[in-house]
Amino acid sequence: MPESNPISRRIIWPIALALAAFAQEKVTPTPAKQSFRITGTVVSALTAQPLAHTEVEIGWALKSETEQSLVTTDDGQFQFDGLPPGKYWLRAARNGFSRQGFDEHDGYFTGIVVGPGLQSADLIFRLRPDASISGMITDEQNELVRDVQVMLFRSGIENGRRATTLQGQVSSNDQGRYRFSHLSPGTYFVAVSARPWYAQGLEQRGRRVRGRVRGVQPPEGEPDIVPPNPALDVAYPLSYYSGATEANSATPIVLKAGDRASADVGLTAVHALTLRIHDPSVSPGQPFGATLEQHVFEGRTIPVPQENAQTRKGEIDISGLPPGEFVVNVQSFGKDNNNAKDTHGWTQTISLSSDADITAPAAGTASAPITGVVTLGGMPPGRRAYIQLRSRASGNTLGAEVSPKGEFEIPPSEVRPGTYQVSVTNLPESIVASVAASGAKVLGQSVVITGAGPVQLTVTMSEGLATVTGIAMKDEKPSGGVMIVLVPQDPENNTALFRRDQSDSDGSFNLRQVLPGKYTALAIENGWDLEWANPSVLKPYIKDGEAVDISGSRKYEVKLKVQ
Amino acid sequence: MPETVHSRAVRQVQVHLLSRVPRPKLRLSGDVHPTQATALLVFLAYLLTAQAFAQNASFTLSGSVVNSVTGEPIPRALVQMFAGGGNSTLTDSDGHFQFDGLAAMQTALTARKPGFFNEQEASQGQGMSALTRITIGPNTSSVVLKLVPEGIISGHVTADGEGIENIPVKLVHLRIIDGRRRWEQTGNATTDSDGEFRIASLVPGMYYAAFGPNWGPLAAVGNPKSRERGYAEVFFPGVPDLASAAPIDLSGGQQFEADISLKAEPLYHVSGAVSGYAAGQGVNLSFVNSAGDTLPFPVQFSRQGSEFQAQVTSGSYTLHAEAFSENSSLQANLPVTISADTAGIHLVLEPDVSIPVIVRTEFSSSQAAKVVPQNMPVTVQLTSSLPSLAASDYFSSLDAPANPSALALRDVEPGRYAAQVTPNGPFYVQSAQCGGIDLLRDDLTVPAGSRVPPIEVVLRDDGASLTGTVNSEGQSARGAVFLVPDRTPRQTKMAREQGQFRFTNLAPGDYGVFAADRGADLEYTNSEALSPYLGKAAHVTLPPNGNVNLPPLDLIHAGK
Repeated sequence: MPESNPISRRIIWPIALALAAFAQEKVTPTPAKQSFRITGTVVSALTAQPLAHTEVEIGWALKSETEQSLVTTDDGQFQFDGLPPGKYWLRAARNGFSRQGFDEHDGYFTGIVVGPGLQSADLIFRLRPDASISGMITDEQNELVRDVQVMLFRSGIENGRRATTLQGQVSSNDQGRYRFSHLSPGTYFVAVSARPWYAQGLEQRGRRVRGRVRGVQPPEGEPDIVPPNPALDVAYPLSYYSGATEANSATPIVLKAGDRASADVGLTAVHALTLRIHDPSVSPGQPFGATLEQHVFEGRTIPVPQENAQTRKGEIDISGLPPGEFVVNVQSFGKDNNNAKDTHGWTQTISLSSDADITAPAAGTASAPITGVVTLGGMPPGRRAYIQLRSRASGNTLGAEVSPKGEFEIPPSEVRPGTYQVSVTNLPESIVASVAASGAKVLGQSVVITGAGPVQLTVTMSEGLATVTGIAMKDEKPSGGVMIVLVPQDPENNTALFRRDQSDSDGSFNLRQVLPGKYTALAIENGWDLEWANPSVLKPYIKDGEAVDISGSRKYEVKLKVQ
Repeated sequence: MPETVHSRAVRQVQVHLLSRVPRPKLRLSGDVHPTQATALLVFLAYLLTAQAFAQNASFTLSGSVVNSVTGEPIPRALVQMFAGGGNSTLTDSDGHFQFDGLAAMQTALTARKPGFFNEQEASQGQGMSALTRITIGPNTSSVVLKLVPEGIISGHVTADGEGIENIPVKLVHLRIIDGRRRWEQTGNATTDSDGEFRIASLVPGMYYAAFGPNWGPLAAVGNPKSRERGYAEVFFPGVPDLASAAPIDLSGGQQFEADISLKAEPLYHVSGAVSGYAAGQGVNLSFVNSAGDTLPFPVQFSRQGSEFQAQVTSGSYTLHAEAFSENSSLQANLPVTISADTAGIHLVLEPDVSIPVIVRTEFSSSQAAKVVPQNMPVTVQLTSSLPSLAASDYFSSLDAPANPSALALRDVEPGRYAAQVTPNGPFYVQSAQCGGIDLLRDDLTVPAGSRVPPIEVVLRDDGASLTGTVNSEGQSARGAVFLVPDRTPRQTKMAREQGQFRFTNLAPGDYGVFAADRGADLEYTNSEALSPYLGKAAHVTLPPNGNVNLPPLDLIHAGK
């Protein structure tokens, strides 16, 4: 280039800059001044019809407060204006449609990202109508049964595994009817736990019991004993829809959005049984009691309310029981009730089909406490941490408060054999990093308790936590609504290390509080019904996932291909 | 009768024996006379036959259980029989039951079934028993046990034609206890996803139904960031307070539909400050409706605790603030009517209202004055005379140990009350005044935030007594006897005795007396409820220290 006059060069530069700047302003307005909108239509996920009078709310993605809310017009439209750029959550609710997030799955939803060049208008918000299950409870004489407990179980993915858990309970009304409303699609079971209102049992068998006839005092001078009519010493077994008394024969109720299913349950009175519990180690006057649980699905249990337990020295008679499989937990308490070390307990499972006796196992196999230390980084004053041991198989949870020095003890009376995942709650920004034990085998972050002897745990809390963010891409385009899973090494024993999210409208996702370790990140479209913690289910996806090695408390970025 | 049967048998045996006794041949031992031997044999025969009868004594008790309203038999009801040989059974499909193999005895029976009440539960303490007493023997007649069917109140709650869910429904039961109206909260429910509710197991009686309040972030159509809306509390059939609500007269076996339409309205912001409490005292603020029921509106306090704000539906409330500490309790009550955002409300906490009670005892003769005056010469009871759900009555108590002879009514909340003064001892209340109000005739009004003058009571010891009996068609009968003082009808007393009734320590004066076959459900402290009976009442004038015996009172049969 020929040399130009130095002065003119100096002048041109600033003018060039100014021209450029001027050109910039005209073409691209300053982002800070612009506001955006989110608009769309709410429709029924079942009929695709627009829904009027629907309440719609939006708020900042990481906050729970509602920024704006409105009610849709007669053609189901909504419009939010004046929004600064960012990520928002969107929620809607209406009569017959429970509050749901946009594209919600399992508590995760797709966030709407708003900003220049981003699509946030004309959204179609599909709301799933609620389903319900209702029915009538009758006995063997076809008479309605009122005021009894009806239980609802749901088969779903809990912590990444398929499990059937208790969802709720209601009482049957005076017409023997019950209803469970606001149910989301899924597979359900209904069961009834009840006692015939007219049942007469052990409490009247030649023993003095106060006020036997409910609400009525016996005449003056009459003993309050009403010997039973054996035909009235009856009980109802735990009864499932439809007609089964065992969980594995129960009829599933499959609900789709908007279904109103009917499930009547029949109860048949059978002769009641008595269980006698012997514990020779109990001394006279020592407080001593038993609680019963009954198996429902997959080894989980529900408590059995007892009305008829008679306790004598070393023996408990529980009568009025229906046939079934029961878990009996017996506990005797030390003289000083506050001293947990004096408690002695044992558990036995019994399949009851006739009057039966069970005896305490020989001394030495009584349960022992679980003690230990949690390394705490330093607790804010007034806050208490809690250690929790949760069994995936039985749903049992053991727990104890952690002292400010980090010590805890779970008394023997609560300890049951099983494999438990260890977690510590109520600690700010810190989770369990590793677990070591003596007296028990450690698998990842789980311990195997046999109950054979005392167990000492050392629980180390995390020093730093990482964040994994990224974009899920499908066919080279960002994809929203995709399930993101961060799978740890040895997934079987490290359920606590899993992290999940749902990609937002711009394909982005955010996994927080990730502990150091080696992981594989996966993006699975329509993966919400998968047992995402089950290694055999994950196997086909792992090879196309992204390996991520977390070692510090920083941010990691990955790009995932949607599978 | 057993005796008759036995004597017949003995006579038969006697004849038999006499015909058997051989005359000359049998030699009886010793100097036993033939007639004595006969007597001995007869006695033995008696014993044997008596034994035989006892072992074969096997009676049957049968009967049926019926619906007391329709008379229809109740199948599968549980019948229980008390006492030796007691048993239980279910009635069959015709409501019939039977117990066999019973010995002769006295026993009692009771029946029950879900959805029914026994007559004692249904009559709410009218003195009826839950037990039916029976004598079992050869002539036992068939027993009929009656059960009263439950009442049900159900309904549909709508807004803009659509059923609304989660609306609380509360029932208030109006009862008459000790001649006075009492309102009790009983039974509640929440509307389901169709806006329907159902409350069963209700004893027959008078009920009021209250709906709401409820609130949720309902916004106006298309208008973002608008005011929250809610549903104000409404009493069936659609009025804002209990005092103007219509009662539901629920009879046994009736199902009443209480449908109501609610209107969503804006929630208003109410704010202000509370003062007068010491540092470290916790302050509590609540909204109380006209029936004395606390409504669960959310109230937020500032960090210092002195400023508050709340979101409420429109209505008339009493703002009630309380502050507690170890040795003192303060309260403030401010009536407010909210129909728009209201700010600047100021509540000043003050020590609770305490009404002193001053008692003077007058003796008619100097000798009687030797009676040692008691620490608690009277008990004063204040009962709310407006429909009120605010629980308890107030009772006078001693200000011990500070002032062992000072009697007072403590912590009385604003309201209108009927006072009842009961002497502890052989006295009558000659007068009870509070700042010019005659408490024997009128209500006591306790206003919010101002002092109440002491209650002055005068007792006298020259009371009269009244005795008498109740007759019905010439025969002695059992009924409730009402003694109505002409000047102070609120002080009507009731006695329920078998045989002779007796009232003592009565104030001298004129009275009306009558007996009726209903007692516990008559609102006898209310002159209006008494008027139909006073026309048939006997009149008596009681002099001081008099003892009057009335001629038998005719039992008035009060049709129900």
